[in-house]
Amino acid sequence: MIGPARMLPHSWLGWSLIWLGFCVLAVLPYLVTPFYVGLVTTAMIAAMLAMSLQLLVGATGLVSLGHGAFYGLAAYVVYLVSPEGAAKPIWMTLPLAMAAAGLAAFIIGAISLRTKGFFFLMVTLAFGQLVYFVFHDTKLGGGTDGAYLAKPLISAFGYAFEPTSLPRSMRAWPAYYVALVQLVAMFALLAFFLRSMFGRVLEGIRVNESRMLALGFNTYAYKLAAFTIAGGLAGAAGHMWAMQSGFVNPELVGWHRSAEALLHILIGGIGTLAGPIVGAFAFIFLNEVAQQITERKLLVEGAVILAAVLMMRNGITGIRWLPNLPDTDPDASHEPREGVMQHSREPAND
Amino acid sequence: MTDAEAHLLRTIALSKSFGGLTAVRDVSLSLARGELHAVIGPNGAGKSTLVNLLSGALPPTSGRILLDGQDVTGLPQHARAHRGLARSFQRTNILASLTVLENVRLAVQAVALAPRRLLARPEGETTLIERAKAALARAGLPYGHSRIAGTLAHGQQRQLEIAMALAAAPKVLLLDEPLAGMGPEEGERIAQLLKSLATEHAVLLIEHDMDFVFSVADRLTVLVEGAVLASGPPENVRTNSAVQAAYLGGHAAHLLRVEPYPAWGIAEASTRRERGADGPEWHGEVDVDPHDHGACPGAGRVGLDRRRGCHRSGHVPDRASRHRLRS
Repeated sequence: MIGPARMLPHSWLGWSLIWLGFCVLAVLPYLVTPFYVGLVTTAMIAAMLAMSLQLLVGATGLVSLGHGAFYGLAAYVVYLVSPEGAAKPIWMTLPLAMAAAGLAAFIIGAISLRTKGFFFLMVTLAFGQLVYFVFHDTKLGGGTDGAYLAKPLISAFGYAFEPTSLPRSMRAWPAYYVALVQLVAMFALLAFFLRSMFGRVLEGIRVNESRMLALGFNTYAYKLAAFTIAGGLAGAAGHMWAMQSGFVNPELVGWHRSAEALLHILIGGIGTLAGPIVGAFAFIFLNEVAQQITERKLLVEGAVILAAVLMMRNGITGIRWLPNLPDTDPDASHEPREGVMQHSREPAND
Repeated sequence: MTDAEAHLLRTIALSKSFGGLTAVRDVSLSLARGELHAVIGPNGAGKSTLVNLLSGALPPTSGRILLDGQDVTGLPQHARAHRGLARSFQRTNILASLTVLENVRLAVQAVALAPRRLLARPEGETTLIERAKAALARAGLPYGHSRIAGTLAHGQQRQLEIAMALAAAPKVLLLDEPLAGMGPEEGERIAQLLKSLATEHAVLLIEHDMDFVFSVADRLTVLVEGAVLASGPPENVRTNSAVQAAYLGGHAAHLLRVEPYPAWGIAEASTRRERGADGPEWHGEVDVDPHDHGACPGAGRVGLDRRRGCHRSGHVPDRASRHRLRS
């Protein structure tokens, strides 16, 4: 038996929890106040960023501190292609933002993937800051102050979701549902990659890169492909951020954003694809709660994160609710079963 | 058959230096189709470095490597694997957290999967899986394919290591001490396997176990201090007195007196090999005659073994002297 894709749920229970989560998100705006609709949108965008980074950190074993650059760059692309007064439709801005982020990731990845481990971390950090200072120190995107985007924010196929045309309580809904659709789509896409033979190679690289190289895998090319895909997906998250907030500034590009995404992965679970989503939600709601109970919210956050990391090494999704089920695979037996092996050829499914 | 056809793998004056240390020195050897060529030598003789040079894990300092008549010296490791070169490692090097089958399936995928199929799910690729299972069965692991590779017993991990090398159906197999850490029964199985492999592949075998090497190898190359001391059929190598002095001393008989061997400036040597804490240790004495070293193929170098011998390169004594060998 080949074994399941490590980062996806191994049982029906895990899958049920994930789909239940998505279903709850689908009906959530009907249940909560507009403030929480906005907050959950922010959490979903953070989850997208963290999940795209998880393709590198959890799946390939590459810890990057420059992921925020692709996120921020994509947000700026939305600003740059939307001249004042006329918003571009989403089917145009989204691919553009993702392509720009993917291209940047390809170039930065091509250089930084020549290094490994700690040096890779530092080189990606340096490139991330390079992109940051491009937006910070030039007038390209409004300099240090950032810039506002033209409204309406979300339009597609000639129909513009003009927030002001909606009742006050529903103004945050379009962005919410667009973000949710993208979140689910990104989860499905990454699950598809992780299950594929491409994903299995990434897993092999994470476990033992030198062996994969000796087996004949061009590990550099695989890592660059993962880095580019992750960058492009971070672009989708950055694009969504610009759509929701209508505002871009250099802080989107800086390394804090990358570190935050890493933190989300750490809290949610480094070994699962759902981990970054859970981590981002947990972090953002912790942030919110801490803000309400004290002025020293960072202190509370720090303490909770420290406790979480110390007590749950595999994050929230790493908690095992059920004991491991016994191995039911007949192949696992060590007894010679010649007759069975020879005669139990299963009929092909197709 | 032309020379290039006969020799699947050839090295020409291959050298590798790490700073001041020359680990592999001017090694020229060739490996023919259907041949099992064993490389032996004392610890630190450069055997594993040689495998790393051949597989592409290390770039050589100088010299060339020809695979199937084509120069592959500048090719990266993964590209050499695609040209039909597979290796196993001296220290078990597997994908420990994956299943046994997945380890071998990836080995097949590396060389046999069309790139356009890369996004397909592995479960549906029955040809890859069948090939992987066949390689596992051949290496002596017909069952327990869903176990996590890291939980296998050491000997089974060695077998898995060989299955991974086999799975790629390579032209040339580089096996770096496949028997290391194997029990006698498994060792016997692997010996049989290697003999059968040698009929269809070219196998370069690095091994410490002398009985094993002499029983399976078609050709032997003895490396000492990174250089080829002797090369040829096992019986020729066995009787070569330089080899006896340098390496085999004490193997057949516990105590071996070496005939005077003027080519190496060794007038007389008595060595014996004893089992030490980390491998064989050497004890004995050697007499060196400085007037004979002019005929030495490695002129200026006197000594049996750089680690236990009495002299290092360039230090030729100026009078006949007796030296104690130490481990």
